[in-house]
Amino acid sequence: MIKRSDKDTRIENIFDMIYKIAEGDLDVSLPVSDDRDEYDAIIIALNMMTEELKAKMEKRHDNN
Amino acid sequence: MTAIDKFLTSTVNIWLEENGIIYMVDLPGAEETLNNAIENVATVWKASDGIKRPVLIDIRQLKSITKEAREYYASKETAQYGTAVALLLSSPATKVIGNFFIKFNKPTLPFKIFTSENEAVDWLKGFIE
Repeated sequence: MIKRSDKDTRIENIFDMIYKIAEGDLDVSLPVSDDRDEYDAIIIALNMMTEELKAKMEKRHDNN
Repeated sequence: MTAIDKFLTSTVNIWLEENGIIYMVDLPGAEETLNNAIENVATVWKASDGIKRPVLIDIRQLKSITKEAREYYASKETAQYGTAVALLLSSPATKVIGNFFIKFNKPTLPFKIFTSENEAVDWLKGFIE
């Protein structure tokens, strides 16, 4: 049996977040680890992206 | 080089170096919110002795920063407390934060990203009034 690594889990979490964003859920976010590695860089980018998108959509909604 | 007065806030250490540059260094694992940003900018001004100075922000230990905090750091309101900002970073994670800040928050003051502290200081020296 192949043991799942932390790396696999983190990638899976990142894809789960992407799927949720694609469904229009902008309240999703992932925790950043203390490693500050490439996975954290992607997670930070996704977290910030959802924040920016959410703010833009709320602003657009307020203007309509 | 001897540091003068050091100020510790919830998320950063701030001090004025003898070279006339304000250092703001994130504590390990710092997670900055708007309240932290307001506290930090006020403390930068306190450390500046009422003189606008260039600021070196070392985010190498920063873990996260909220949208509201990024917007406050980039605002015209905070621009009155400094002359320029050099952002010192290292990891892929902090590079993302720095690039997001430039692309989305568009800082008011002259702003540049560095991975070398010496290069950051050399650049900031050009903004000492």
